[in-house]
Formats: sequence, C-alpha cells, structure tokens
Amino acid sequence: MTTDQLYRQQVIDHYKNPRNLGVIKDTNIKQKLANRFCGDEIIVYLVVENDKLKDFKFMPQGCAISVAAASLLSEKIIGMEIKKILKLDINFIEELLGTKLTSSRIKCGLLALDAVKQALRKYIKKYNMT
Amino acid sequence: MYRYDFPIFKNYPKLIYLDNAATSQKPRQVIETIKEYYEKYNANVHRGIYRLSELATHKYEEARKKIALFINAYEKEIIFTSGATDSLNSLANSLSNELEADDTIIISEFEHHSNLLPWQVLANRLKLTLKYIPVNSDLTLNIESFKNILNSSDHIRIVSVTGLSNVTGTITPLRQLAKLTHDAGAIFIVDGAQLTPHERIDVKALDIDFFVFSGHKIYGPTGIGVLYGRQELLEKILPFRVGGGMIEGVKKFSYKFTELPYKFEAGTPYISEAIGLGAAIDYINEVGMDKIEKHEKVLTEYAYNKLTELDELEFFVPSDITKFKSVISFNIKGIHAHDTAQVLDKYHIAVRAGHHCCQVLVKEILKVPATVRASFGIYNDTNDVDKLIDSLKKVIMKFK
Repeated sequence: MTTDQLYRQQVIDHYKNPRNLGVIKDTNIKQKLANRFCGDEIIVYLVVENDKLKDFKFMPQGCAISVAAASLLSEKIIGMEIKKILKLDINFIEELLGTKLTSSRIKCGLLALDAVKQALRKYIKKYNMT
Repeated sequence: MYRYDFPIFKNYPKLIYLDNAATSQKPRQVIETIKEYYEKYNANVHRGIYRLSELATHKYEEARKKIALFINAYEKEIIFTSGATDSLNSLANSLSNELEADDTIIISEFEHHSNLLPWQVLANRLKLTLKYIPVNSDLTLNIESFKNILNSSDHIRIVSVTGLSNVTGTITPLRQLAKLTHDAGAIFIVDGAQLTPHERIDVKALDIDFFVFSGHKIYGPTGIGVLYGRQELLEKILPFRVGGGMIEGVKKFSYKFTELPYKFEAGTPYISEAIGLGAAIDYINEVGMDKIEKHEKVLTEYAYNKLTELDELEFFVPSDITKFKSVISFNIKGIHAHDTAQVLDKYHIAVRAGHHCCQVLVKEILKVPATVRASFGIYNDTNDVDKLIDSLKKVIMKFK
C-alpha cells in the first residue's frame, strides 16, 4: 500500500462527498460503533425486507479511510442479501478501496462493515431468523 | 549535527523522525555498549565469585551510579525497573500498603494513562478519593484550583503529576507543587518520562519524593526504567516484588528483606539494559544537557513560529511559548489526525496521531478525537521542521 494508492482521487471523493449519508428515522435497526484506538465513530441505519437490505444510511465521524470505506460499502450492500453481507470481510473492503490496508488502518476500513454486521446480528437474534 | 551519532539515520537517510515523545533513536555508543556486554562480560550479577560476574556487577552498579549523579540522588535511592509504567505501577503497589479508605490521591488532567490507571485502580480497590488538578483553557495547570483542592480535602496522602505533558508540552512548575504538597503533608510523585530527555533534573533541589523515567525515551534501550525514591520513604515501604536477591535471610516461615536498593530489585536485574542506559547518560553528559535544552528551546520556537504561519492548522499548546517545550500537538482543520500522519509518512516524516494515551486530556479537555504530535530530540534541526511544513502543505492540497 502506498499513500498515493490509499488516498487516490476516488477515496478522497467518497470522503468529501459520502454517498448515502444521513439517518433513517423510522427504523429500529441501527448501531453505533466506535474505534476507541483512534476516535473514529459511525452510526448506521438499516431497513431490512425479505432477507435483503432495502435501505441504508450512515452518519460518520472520523478519518478519510473510515468514511470512504463506509460510502463505498453503502453503494454495494443496498439490495444485497443479509446472509451475504454477514460474510463480507476485510478483503471486500480492500477491494473497494483499491488497496491493501496497513495493520494500523484496518480498523478504520472495517468500522462501517463491523457496525452493519453487529446491527444485523442483533436483528436476526431478535426476530429468531435463521 | 548530532544525526551522525545515530546509526538509524545512516540506514534510513530520508527519515525525519519527529516522534521522540514515543521513543528516541539510539546513539552508536549505546548500541555498542549492549553488544559489548553480551560479547565480553555477560554474567549474572551480585551472585558470582568468578571474575566475569564481578565485572558484570561492577558495570551494572556503575550504571546505577551514573543515573544517581544524573538526577542528584543517592545510589541506594535508584531502583531499576522495566520502564516508567512499570515504576509507577510498582510504586502504587508498594504504597497501597500504606493507604486506607477515604485517603485522597491527587493527579492532574494532563496525565498519561500510566500515571492515571494505577491510581484509579488503587482508588477503586481501596475506596480512596481520587481528585484531579484541572487544566486551564490556556493549557497550563490550574495551581489555584490545586490549592483549593488541598484546602478542602481530607487525608491527602499522594500527589502525582507529570513533569511535562506528552500532548501539549506544558511544563509543570514542580518546585511550587512540591512545596504545596508537602505543606499538606502528602508525598510528591513525578512522572518524569517526558521531562527527563529535555531538562536537567535535580530531585533534591526540587524536593521530589518519587521520580520515574524510562530509558528508551532518553536515548537508551527499551526495557529499562528508573524509580527514584527518597531513602527514608523507601526504607519504610514494602517492596512490590519479592524473590531472589532481595532478602537477608529466608527460613520456612519467615524472611528479612535486605538493604536499599536491592530490597526493590528481586530477580535477575535488567543488566544489559541498565548498562545501556548508563551509556546513554554518558552520551547526554558528553553533549551536555544544557546544550540539549538550548537546542530544543530554539527548535521549538522555530517550529511553532513556522507552523503558526499555516492558517489551516489549529494548535493544542499553551499560548505562551515559555510554558511549553519540545512537544507540539496540532491538527489540520477538517482533516483527521490519522490521515495527516499517514500522508506525512509518504514524505518519510514520523509523527504520532491519536490520543497519545491521554484520553482524559485529549477527549474531555481538548475535546478532539485525536491530534497530530511532533516532538523533538537532539538529532532534529530546522531542516526537519522545514520539511514538515512543506509536507503539511502537500497534505492540505491533497484534501482540498
């Protein structure tokens, strides 16, 4: 990973103009997650219908990597099956960002995905889905 | 100019190392001394009769003497530990035997977690009262508030503060705090991890009861630190670790601890590390601490003046330049510290980004998630600062 790769134009664009930024007021699937190590925070809002993610928004507060990763992720997961979302991992995030992450930035890259997965797991548990 | 004394810069010539508050680079003589120990006189100390052990013992105790002279203490008041964090934890452990419920410990909002957690944990365990000296809005310590806390608290037993903030560079007025602390009948502990590389310390003149610092921050190896304690106090308190080398005699159901400082040095000491630290002290003395102080003062002023020319930066240092040194925290407005630090790495500039193990200070007092921190050492010069400025401009352009 070079700095140029990490902060290439697409990443900076998603950082400055995050897609799907905002809140979904009438959903009960939301999750706040913070990366205590560096101070990044995110709140994610999800709407699930027919085992798929129907809508997704997020409110970020943090570094360019965490925000850009959240924005890039949001474009891919709307419409995706929940089962598939739960299987996504760092490789998916690195593909979206177009670069591998150094160990100190992996948590930044994973913040949104981790929040989404936590929210979905709680939802599944609550409604006893399989 | 001192760059050439440090082999790392030969191996990584482009390195602009501005993270001395995290750890320092090592001069050749420190590296050679440790190598020499293992090649020429490696043996366990205090125990062997053969000449190799005598030589190792002599070198180890010689290192202790160097440190004692360095901070103006008696040799028996110098205890080797594995670092400042170890010193503070061990000290809290020993002092815990002297404390009881409702005793008060006072620390400050500047404290690094290593001088915060041990007292917090102790306070929870023994039901003590923990109080904080607040930080003023100009990022100096609020002495008036400290006086009020002293006047309004019962059973004040301990005051423990940093000598220099590892985030804001704020200098603590130690002599003043020591006097106030002693007038209130408490003991005065100083976390010298950040201060020791930047200033001559005289623990007697400053009237400090316990002083800690880490070797790796003052051009010495990792894995070694110092706990200085006033003799009368060390004689009174129980050791924090027991085992071989610290007893006069042991029977099945009784024991007698030995004299200072060995009472506090159970087990095989950090022999090579202590000798390496001795070599670091030699290096500092050869250069001259007064020269180091002067060099860093000039450099800090130069850096602060240059950095403040950039409108895009916000700073987390006292507004009065005489109140801080050697450490400058800042952010590029609107850019997360981690992103700034990551891009600076492209230009081989090493700075730290985060809360610097001071979550209370950074999150609750400065009210930011993270800062970028540049901190100076003997091998830094105005070229390093100029390169930092140029690179910061590039970071700003990238995120425009």
